[in-house]
Amino acid sequence: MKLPKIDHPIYDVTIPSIKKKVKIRPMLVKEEKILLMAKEGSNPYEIFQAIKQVVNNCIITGDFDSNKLTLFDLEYMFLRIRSVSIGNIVKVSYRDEDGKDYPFDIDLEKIEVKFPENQELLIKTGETSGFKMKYPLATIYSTEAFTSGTATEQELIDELILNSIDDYFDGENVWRLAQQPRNEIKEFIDGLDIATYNKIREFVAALPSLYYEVKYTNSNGKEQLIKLTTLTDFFIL
Amino acid sequence: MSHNTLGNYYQVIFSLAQHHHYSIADIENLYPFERDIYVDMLTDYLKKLEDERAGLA
Repeated sequence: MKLPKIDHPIYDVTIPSIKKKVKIRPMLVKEEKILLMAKEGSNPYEIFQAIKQVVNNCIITGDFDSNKLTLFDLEYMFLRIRSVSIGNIVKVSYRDEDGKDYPFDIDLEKIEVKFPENQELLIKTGETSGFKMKYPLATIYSTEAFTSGTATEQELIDELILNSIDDYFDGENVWRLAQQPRNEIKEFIDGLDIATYNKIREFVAALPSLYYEVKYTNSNGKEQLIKLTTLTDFFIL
Repeated sequence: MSHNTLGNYYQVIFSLAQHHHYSIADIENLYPFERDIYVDMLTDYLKKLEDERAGLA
């Protein structure tokens, strides 16, 4: 097999959820255009698709499928790609309760993914039974439930729950939920006792996210702390 | 993507292509940081020319 032609600078990045190293290249000006066009439209679904498209183009590890990234992986990878393509410093400003604007430089290289403390991927329902959980894939945010804008909060939580359960096990029997009909999974979850359901709900309410802190003292001498946890926080502030 | 807007994107490409004869395809295949460097260098160069012209006048 012929060796591949290398015509881009290449960087190693570790995917946070699976700790796997992949290679990325910087985005090109024409790929920046895809993002700017989506941003102009202000449609969250189009912005999400544009980000996914750019991340997919810029990860050059051969067998990699960007559809297998979780949302926080996708956001993290996008920030890394943005950092090597445009620059690692983002200038933002925040209007404080004192009415003044405070400018900050955010170093994208210092943004990490924060995993909730003591969160386990195993939720036990008995001595030998329970659920094996997984982080939902980013593709869930392009499903109708999330893009239609008509779903209720409970419907969105249900969708997250359906996509966060990997297996249900009881003794030696294991049911892979992805292989079961959707209505049967829903019926199964609806039949759970409240304590188990709440544990699953707590899991999806505390998924890992990007994390960066900004601290400053305002003109009244009050110490302020801003937590940035989503891509929107980094680019809209 | 707070560093740029679609309007500015097209304005820069138009200026580089129309006034400085860069090809649009070449610009679109640069990395954004490279384009920014070229624009900065070009701006400095034009300013230097303008200063020299002002000095001669």
